[in-house]
Amino acid sequence: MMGIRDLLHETWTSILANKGRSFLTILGIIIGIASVIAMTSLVGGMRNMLIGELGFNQARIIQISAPIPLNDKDLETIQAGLPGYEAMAGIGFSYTTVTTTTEQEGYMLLGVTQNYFEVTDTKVSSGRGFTDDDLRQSARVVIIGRGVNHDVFGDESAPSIGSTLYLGSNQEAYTVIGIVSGDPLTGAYSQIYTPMNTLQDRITGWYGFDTVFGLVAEGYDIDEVLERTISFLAKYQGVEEDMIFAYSMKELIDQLNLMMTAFSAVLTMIASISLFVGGIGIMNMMLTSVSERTREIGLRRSLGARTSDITQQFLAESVSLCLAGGFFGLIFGFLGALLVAAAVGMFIPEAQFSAAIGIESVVIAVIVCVTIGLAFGYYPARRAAKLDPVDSLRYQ
Amino acid sequence: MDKVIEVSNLHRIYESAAGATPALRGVSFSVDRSEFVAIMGPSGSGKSTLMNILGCLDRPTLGEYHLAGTNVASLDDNQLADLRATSIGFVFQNFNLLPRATVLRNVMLPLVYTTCPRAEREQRARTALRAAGLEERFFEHKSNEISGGQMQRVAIARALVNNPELILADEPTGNLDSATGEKVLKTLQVLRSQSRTIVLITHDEEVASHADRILYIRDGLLDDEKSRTPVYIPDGLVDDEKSRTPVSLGAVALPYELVKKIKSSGGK
Repeated sequence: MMGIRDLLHETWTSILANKGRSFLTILGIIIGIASVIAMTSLVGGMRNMLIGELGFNQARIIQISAPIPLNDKDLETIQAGLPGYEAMAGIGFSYTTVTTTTEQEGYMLLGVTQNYFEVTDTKVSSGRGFTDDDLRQSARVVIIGRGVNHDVFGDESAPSIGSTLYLGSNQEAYTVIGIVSGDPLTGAYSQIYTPMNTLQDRITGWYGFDTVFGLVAEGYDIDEVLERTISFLAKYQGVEEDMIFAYSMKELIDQLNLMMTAFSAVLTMIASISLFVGGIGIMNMMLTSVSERTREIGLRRSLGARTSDITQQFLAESVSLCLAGGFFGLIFGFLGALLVAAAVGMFIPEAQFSAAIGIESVVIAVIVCVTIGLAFGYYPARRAAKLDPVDSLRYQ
Repeated sequence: MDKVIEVSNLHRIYESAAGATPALRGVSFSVDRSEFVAIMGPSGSGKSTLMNILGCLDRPTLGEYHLAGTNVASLDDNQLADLRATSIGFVFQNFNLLPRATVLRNVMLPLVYTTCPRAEREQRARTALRAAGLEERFFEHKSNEISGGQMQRVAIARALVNNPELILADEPTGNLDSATGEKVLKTLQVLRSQSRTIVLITHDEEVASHADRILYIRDGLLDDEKSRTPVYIPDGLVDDEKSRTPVSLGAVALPYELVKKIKSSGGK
């Protein structure tokens, strides 16, 4: 029996003996693997962008609206009586206009509790969040989305912290204390945030939260907490359960994941066609090789090679060719994905898109290459092994 | 005397759509250890078939073949391959070297299929090449960069490297000019003097005359009349010591129908 080092040496020697032909043969595998890797990296990047922008906490958030608007005390009562929540934040919705020297533009205005950004994982990229003092004093301060910053102050990169924003028909002056880094796909991009008390006391005069965001504590089942919340609130407010509107972001994220997985699977299947064609190319080359090396096979058999040695030798060659194709395919696939991501970044700068390049792609590529090598190399290898040594030695 | 080959009533019948063709029709003979035997016969006489069976590349339809005491008929394909790897060295008419491999790698090739440690292989290959009479400066040459005579020496070295029980040489001088061929035959004679057992297949009487004994085969049967001991004439003098009498050359020819009947009854 041939040892593994001898097998690898023989394989390497045979592939090198036909460098040009080997390279042309693995082109199909290179293109196939590159396509699959590029597709999965880009779809993975898209998924990361969408889910990432929603925020990691989003999967653990339950959004609640009750017929009687909840207030700070209600939130304390709910958290005390309903285990499973790590924190709760409330918001009130409004609409406002921003007046600049040239125009007036309308934006969504959100009054938020101090912990809102933390609970919803909304990132304040520059400046600061709201303090207890801001809330207590109903301070005239705002945190604006990147889009608002871009619209009002023009250059997104210019520091607008400390600038004044004139809100509403009265054009009341508010100081910008922070900027939220949302992209155009999320609401945060074009919203204005102000402390909840400011919204209530200075803008709407309407008290109570329109929506409450509850962050479910680690280790709790989100669906179970959701059900308990509905029944608790229905009793708390003395209303029917179907009057309580509560849903979790988990379902949305699961659906998004499912959609992306399906999308990725379809693209991968399309790209797999070139892998299949590449596999046929490998089989064709291996069959030619068996034909050309018939005498060598006869010689090896006469020198003591078992049929399994011949099978292994040709299988090792086809698997090695596929792995070589997979190696180059991985490089080109990753480069292609990075190029596409760079192009997206160039044309749509707001979209913080990057290709998802992970070790799992490498593992999948290796598995796919070995499988193709074995599947398409098996028939030529068996054909080689089954050659009669006497006839092979006579072959001209 | 210790026998390396013992063949008894060997039949080989090729069956095809056109019918059955008997290539060997009951061949029996034996070869002693350290003997140099030539099997001679015209084209189509069955000598290549005999060589294939002796080399364990083919199986007889009927009859027995013992190689160094091992009953070859009882071995499966893998055991036959192992037997070829350890006990038989082939020298082919057209050398059958791997053209892009170096001389050393060609000679080391049979060791790949044995348990010989990698560290020992090169040393054994060098020893075999020296024994085959190839100059050291050619060891690292590619095998397609050397002459025909040198190629055949490499092939002989490859046949020696496993230290086999039997060296089978099939028309080893067929592709060589007479001077080079003579050198190759002298090499085989030197190996024989070093206690190697050699069976040479040839159709050339001059080549066969280098052997200790000639077995003449015609129409699948050994011809006792023609099988003989060649008169060995080194340096113009008859060497009586080496001019020996053939050992048993018994041969029984059976009609094909009978062979078939014996075969179907499992030899009982």
